[in-house]
Amino acid sequence: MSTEVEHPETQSWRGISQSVSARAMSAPGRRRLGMNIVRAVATVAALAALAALGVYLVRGFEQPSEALSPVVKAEPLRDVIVLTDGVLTEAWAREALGLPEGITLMAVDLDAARAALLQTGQVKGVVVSRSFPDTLVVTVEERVPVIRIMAAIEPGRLEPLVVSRDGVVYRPINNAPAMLNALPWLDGVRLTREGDGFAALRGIDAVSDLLLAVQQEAPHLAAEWRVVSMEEAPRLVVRTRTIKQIVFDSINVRRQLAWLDHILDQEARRPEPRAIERIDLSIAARAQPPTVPQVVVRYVVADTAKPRGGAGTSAASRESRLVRARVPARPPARPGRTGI
Amino acid sequence: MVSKGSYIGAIEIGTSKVAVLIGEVLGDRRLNIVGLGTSSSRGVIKGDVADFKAASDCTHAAILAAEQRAGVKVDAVYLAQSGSHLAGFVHEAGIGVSSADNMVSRDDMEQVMALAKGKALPKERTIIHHIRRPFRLDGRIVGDPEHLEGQRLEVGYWTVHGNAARIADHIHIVNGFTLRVEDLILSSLASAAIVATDEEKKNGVLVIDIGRGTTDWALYHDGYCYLTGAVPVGGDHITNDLSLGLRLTSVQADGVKLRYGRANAAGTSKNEKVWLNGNFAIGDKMLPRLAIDQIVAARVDEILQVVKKQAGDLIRPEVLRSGVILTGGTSRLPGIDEASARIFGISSRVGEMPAWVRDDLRDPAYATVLGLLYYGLHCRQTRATQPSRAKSWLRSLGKYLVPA
Repeated sequence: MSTEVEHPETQSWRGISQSVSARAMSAPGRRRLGMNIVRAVATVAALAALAALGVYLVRGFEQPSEALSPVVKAEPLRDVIVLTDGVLTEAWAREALGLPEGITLMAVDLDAARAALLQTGQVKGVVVSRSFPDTLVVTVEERVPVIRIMAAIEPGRLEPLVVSRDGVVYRPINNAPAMLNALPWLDGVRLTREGDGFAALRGIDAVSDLLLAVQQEAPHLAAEWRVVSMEEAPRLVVRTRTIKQIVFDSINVRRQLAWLDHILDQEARRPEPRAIERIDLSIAARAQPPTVPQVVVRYVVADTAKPRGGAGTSAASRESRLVRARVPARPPARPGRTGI
Repeated sequence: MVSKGSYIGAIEIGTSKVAVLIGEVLGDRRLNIVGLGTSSSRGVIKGDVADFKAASDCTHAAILAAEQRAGVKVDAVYLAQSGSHLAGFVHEAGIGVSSADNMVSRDDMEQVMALAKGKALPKERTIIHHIRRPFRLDGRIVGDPEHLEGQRLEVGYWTVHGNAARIADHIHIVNGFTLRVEDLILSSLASAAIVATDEEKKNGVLVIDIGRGTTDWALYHDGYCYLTGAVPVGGDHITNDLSLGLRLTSVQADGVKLRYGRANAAGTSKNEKVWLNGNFAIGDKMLPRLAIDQIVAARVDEILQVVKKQAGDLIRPEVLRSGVILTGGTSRLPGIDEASARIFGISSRVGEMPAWVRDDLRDPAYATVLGLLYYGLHCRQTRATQPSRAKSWLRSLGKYLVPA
């Protein structure tokens, strides 16, 4: 339509109320009004039901876990059971968890508890679970100390710590002092601060393999070992009670131990045993075939032969000379099997 | 028009009949008429409601019939408005163009339009339409003056108003069927929308809808509606004149009018007689044809003369180049176009429905209600580009929950 008809804004017919009473309606109009009311009520009811369902579902999804606690029987925490493959105890667990007195079992935040326990360096892995009605079960996988290390905790303050196979440096808890005292010392590494502790060391698995092998195959040799140095890494240098340097390669450790035992045995049979300053077994470790003797032994030559011991070592440091000896050939065998 | 789904409804509560149409909008551009309901009008005199209950009953019966035929229910309709209480006035306003470069802005247009619509009315009157006339910029007629240069911008409105109580009566009849009146349209505008083309409106045309109780007219020029009017005289007065002049009952007179009535007595033989009933039963009698034609022609002349008088000096061939279009039930009288041409002095014809109107609705008596549907379709197309979807959705929900 081209006619420019506009709706009036004031005094408009639209100001007339369009509501009429039921009495002013005809019978068909009243029937229609009734149907409209029924339809409106049904629509409102359906919308209300939908809204209620929506609220119920939203609340169900958004309800925090704490609010669910009244659903189960929650009693104050009474026991903390520690299941471990090591030496950690319930007392340690309670201290590490730091749970307040009277806390209910359902109020314990398992994730936070696990994180708190993992702060202990000796703990490699941990699972915290509830055992209803009042017990918290802590299942711990512990690290095993491989070697000791002297660390500067503070300037001017040294403290002996231990190192696990995965290189973690930690303060041992509940380990037997005799076992710790039997561990050699680690040398030739640099400790780096990380948080409250130290960063994990690399290459400790080789040290662990060497120490494990010597303890299993030749415990009489292991008792003499005092220091393992990683200064020449990847080669490992062991200082014993009588020998200043025994150089190991990281491969074929058992072959090297066999050679070492053989050399020391040969020396022991000599009428006048010579003091040994350095034995380099690393060449033998890589020799092919393994029967070829490739061990370099450096003896200490003194004016008078001295028994094996610390006194001889000090004399040797003054007058040592290099002697290349061809050690009598002997097929290297596993020391344990040969009864060394 | 906003109705349920894509259906629109239109209601004309006339003096002789109530007509209800329900149309289905196809793609917002095409209209398919799916429901028609009619009933004999009662309680309506000269377009005004005289008996609310009787008028409600017949209107609601027609709505029910249309809905049943369409198989759908509508909840809002367009309603035609006529009646002797309607009146109109022209109010013009002009302002100086505000910008320094004399370029007309949208603000200038809105300001002058607001001024032109700002005339207050007595409290008992209510406005139905503000019909805008073209803008004039320094005296020249322009369609859209925005960005044109000039110094003085003027515009006028033809404001149609009516008695608030009588308009409320019409609206409340529809509300009584729990329907809401979406818009109120002048009967003359609705009829013109269907029988006059945009081209004819540009050339200038006078559309006269002669109903049973009222005669509504609208005058178009340059594509704009300049004037409208309603004359409280229609086909019923012809019937009444025949009844008095020939001493017949109203029913007999109405039958004579429909069978023999002609709006032009020229050429009628003095001796020609016609039978009242034609069944030769008791009471059947012969009537002089010339007397019938003279009575009918006199009343038609009077109606057209009143229209001519109301339209004033705009009835000129150079203004109404497309002539006069007659519609409404009384326009079926033979010779009425000749009578119109004689009185107005310009070519006249009986309006024809567009080709898309089906056969049973091509009667001129349905021009108004068809025009309402057409108007509703136009409004729907206009509104489709305006409101946001969310707002429409909320409004639909509100209407659904709170029936009128």
